[in-house]
Amino acid sequence: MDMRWTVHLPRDAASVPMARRLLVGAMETAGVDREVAMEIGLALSEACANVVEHARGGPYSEYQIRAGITGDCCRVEIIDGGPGFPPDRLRGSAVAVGPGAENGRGLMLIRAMTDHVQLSNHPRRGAVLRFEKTLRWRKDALVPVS
Amino acid sequence: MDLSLSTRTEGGRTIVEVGGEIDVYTAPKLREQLVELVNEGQFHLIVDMEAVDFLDSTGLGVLVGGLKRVRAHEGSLQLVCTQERILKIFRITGLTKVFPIHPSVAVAIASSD
Repeated sequence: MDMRWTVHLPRDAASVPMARRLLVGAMETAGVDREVAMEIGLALSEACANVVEHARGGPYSEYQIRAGITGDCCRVEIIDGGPGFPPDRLRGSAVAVGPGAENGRGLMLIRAMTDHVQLSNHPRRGAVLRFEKTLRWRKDALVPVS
Repeated sequence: MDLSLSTRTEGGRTIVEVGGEIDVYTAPKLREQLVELVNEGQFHLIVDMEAVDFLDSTGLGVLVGGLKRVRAHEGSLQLVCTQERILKIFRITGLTKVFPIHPSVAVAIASSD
């Protein structure tokens, strides 16, 4: 069974726990192993926090999350309407984070929690962060896995 | 679930018990609490994270900020955590080298100078 969700959220810090609970709740309801669901929840929180923090001050006030399960793979896209990622970020340049830095660990955690991460800019406007992760299912999963 | 905070003094240290979710939404409350303690002159802190259900990079940033504040006064900031899911976040980000992490408040107090 394949499933897809699209959620539109206000670009506000309070949207981040809401987004995480929605996605983790949906995953757990579908029967995804709790640890895997929590790892996806952390990756999503980091991506949403990035939208809320870095796209600050723009004229747009919403962002969008598209999530889906296809077979054993979960794909999540976080799309904002901001200025997009800076070019060096898109080239994948590693950002050095010193031990005393108070920021910059978000993408590190997204990469560690998921199998594949892609950063891109929307052709018109906005940043798109996509990640994928292979799922593990609980024995009592509602979704029959082929 | 939100963030819960409580503080107490034990063995000459200030214990900050944190529970719930530390993320971009709740981290400012933790930051305020740590700043307030430092402003009150409490420079030896133990942050007990045993009741934390969720921690993100914003929370890590607040802890690093707290460490810098207490160190400016020759203080210390130690953590108590045994939850594998949370410890993993410190390991991935290399912060196990920055924070002393103990299995209990008693061990943290005993290991203090």
